[in-house]
Amino acid sequence: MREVAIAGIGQTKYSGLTDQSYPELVRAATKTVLEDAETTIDSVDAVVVSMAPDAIIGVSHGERWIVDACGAAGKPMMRVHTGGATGISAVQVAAYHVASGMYDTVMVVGADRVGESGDAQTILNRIWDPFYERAMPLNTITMLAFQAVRFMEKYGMTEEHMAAVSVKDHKNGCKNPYAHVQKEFTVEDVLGSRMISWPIKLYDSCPSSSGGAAMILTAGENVGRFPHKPAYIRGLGHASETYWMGDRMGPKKEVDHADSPALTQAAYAAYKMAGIQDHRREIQAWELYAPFSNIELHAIQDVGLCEPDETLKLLEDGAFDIDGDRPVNPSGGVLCANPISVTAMVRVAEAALQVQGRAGEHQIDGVKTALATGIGGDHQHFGAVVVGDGR
Amino acid sequence: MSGAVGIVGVHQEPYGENYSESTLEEMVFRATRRLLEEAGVEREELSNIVTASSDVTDGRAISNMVMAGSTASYFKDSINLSSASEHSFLLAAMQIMSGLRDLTLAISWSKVSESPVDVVQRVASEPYFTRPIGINAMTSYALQASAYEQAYGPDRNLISRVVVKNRRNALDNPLAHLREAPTLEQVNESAPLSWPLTEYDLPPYSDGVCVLLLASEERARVFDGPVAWVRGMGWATGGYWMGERDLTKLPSLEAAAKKAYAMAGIEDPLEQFDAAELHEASSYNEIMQYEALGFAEYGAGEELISEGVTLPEGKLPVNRSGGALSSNPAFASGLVQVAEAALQVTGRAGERQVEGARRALATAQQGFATQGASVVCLEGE
Amino acid sequence: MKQESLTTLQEHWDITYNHALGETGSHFYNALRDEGKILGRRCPACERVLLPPRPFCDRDFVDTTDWVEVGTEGRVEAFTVVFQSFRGLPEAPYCIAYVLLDGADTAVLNYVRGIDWTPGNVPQNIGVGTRVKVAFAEEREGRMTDFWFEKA
Ligand SMILES: [Zn+2]
Repeated sequence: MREVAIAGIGQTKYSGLTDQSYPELVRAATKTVLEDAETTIDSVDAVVVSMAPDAIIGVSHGERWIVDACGAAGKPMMRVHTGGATGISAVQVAAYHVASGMYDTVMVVGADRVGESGDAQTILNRIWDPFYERAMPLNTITMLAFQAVRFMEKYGMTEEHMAAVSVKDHKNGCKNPYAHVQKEFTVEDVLGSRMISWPIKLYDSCPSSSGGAAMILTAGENVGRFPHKPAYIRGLGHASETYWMGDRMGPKKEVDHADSPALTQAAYAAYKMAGIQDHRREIQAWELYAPFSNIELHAIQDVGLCEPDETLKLLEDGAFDIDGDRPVNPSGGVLCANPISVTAMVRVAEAALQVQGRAGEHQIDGVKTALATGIGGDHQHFGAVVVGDGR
Repeated sequence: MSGAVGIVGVHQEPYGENYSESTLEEMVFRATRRLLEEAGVEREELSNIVTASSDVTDGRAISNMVMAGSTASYFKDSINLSSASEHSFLLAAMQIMSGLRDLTLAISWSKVSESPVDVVQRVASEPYFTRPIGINAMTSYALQASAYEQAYGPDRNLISRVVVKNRRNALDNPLAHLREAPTLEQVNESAPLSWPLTEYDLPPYSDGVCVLLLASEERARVFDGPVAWVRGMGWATGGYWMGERDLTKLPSLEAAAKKAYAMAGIEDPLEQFDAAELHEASSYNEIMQYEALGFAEYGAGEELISEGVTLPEGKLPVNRSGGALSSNPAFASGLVQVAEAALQVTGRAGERQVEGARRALATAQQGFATQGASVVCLEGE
Repeated sequence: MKQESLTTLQEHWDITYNHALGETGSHFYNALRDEGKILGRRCPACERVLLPPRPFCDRDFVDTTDWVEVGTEGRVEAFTVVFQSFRGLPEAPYCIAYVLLDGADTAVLNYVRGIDWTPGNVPQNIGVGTRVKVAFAEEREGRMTDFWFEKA
């Protein structure tokens, strides 16, 4: 395969503000990535738009609306939409543009303005099957509360374990200048926070964020034209599960809603492509998509960072802390910023920053390889990308 | 170009007014299942799936979610695009070209009968300036036709003959939605819907689903049937604001064609292609595509009609399937043109086969007044 | 210079869809409304009884073949109690659960009613494994809300 390198990364500060229009946020992300790559839009051969449910911004096929904002006019443009996984799917689509030889330099860009609609969870109820499940108040919170309940039952997770994840990620988020939530919490703060959907509490949850992000990918032979130490896309994986959450339960289930074997499939496909044999040793930083604290724990074991019966003990021992031996979400993760359309792209961007040594205060020493993941649909579409410093 | 990519399977369900007997999910499952049966492929053999869907058309806020089961995506790599149906094909081809995937489904669908099309189109316009004006596909393509009318003053009879040609072609296509052909007189006399476009100048809205199976060169060799090889592809978008675009031309289609022709080594499309399936958003728009694709000079597209060049017996039959004026599964229409071009170069187009077609061209358009466009060049064996 | 105030534009999407239920969904809802029966569909390959009933099995990618009436008692497989109200969704608190009805192989989602919820008592009142029974509405209209669960 033709080598694909990350030549630029741009993020806006994520926030709860709604003072900028959606195209303005896309424009800001585009400007930031071009500045970071020290280049102009003329060097971009094609654009991939990362846009999740467009009902949230209130313009159907909103990718057409932001063509001018991201400088795509006159260029090839594709929009990717796999729900919450959109950002990591979009990076993969951009990588295929380059790997196929069709284009040399591709920008992947997006933004979200979750505050645009006061009805985000009502819109997210419309993702469900209209015939049997939409009549119930399903949304992205309740679907993952079901996961928490089954994970508790299967592995003995407690509300305290969830709180410990939240405490860790929020502590990391304070080191990340782009994070939306930059506040430390104690376990007591989390346990005492408002119950939303048992057992998920306010501080177990991601915020509703506005902001944009973009990346520039280029062919390996072009890295010399860009200013930073390159990070390479070394592994890609993507896998989907059944839509039906109720099929992930009961004695005849093939998968359990507590776990995500499709995440395992995606991650191991990415390891294989990257030629990684011992991922626990060869990967030094893990940016795992987890919009609620419980999701981080299953993601940790499903990407094979530890055995399933070790997860809670390792959490208690601080193994996943930024200075632990298996650091997870040094950026603060999704719990500290969730601009839905680009959240999973930010995981790849943060993995790349770690590999490039550009992560600033949340930099982990000596990262040569990092893993990023994304989750979309009803805990159903999973993407994984391995980023490395060598070819 | 890296590895060659071939189309080894095409399945379309008959396009129709209303698939009321099944759910959207069921309709797509059946088409996908039938393609796999026809191609003799087990689901396990697929390397991956690319879907393309429109949330608001489907009434599902993440439309590849419930659809995962229908598209054979259970424990498969399955990526969904929402910019255009034919983008599923383009991504699948790039994945195979990269050498990372080798047997890929491209799937798109539309069940427009379940939604109010005008409202669905209206929420695709931005809310600040254009939505209050009521822009939709019809008015945007009427603005385009009107601009062309003002610039070149084409012969209305020749515009109408585009409609007659495509609708007559559809009589040979058992999958077509509209299968009765109006006379030239009927077309000329029909009432304007949005000047200068009349009812006959615009496509119907159809329910439908289209599935293609793409394979690497190595995998394609295993199939018994003829293969449609992808020789060139290009796609491009224009700016959002119609007021900034030259509506008398189709710049995004021109840009897409330039890239696709360069890849495929096409210098004289009228000579080198044997058939073309153009996603005509209106009768005027087909003539405008002739010009953007280099079949004719600007303003001279109508000559291809007056000289019969694009008739079934002409030098370059266009829309032998009947085109979008006969079947228009809204969002999925772009992929349909690619499917029909593949059938032509593999000699599998039945009654609508262009005799001896070896090279075919497919186009697609999306957004208001051809904001974006794609071109695919295929070649048989 | 006078500070210009930034403004917003309120827009509301109002789109009505008529989603075809197909043969499978129509039969399920007719049986629910007219006979108070809950029907699943059996997959000939994996032999699971799928509830909600589907015309095909996504695991085996084949058509389902026959109808199976399932029981009106079952086991809670997953649940949550919602304490925050969202615009357009019901007033909190309420409980929803996936229940494996006897005779079905996949769990079906519905409300669990008849329990007084306060945040502290959730795990005491319901858990994975809790037995529940189906309660039917007297006036049924062929919708999922024609039935719900109560503690057995
Ligand atoms: Zn089965």
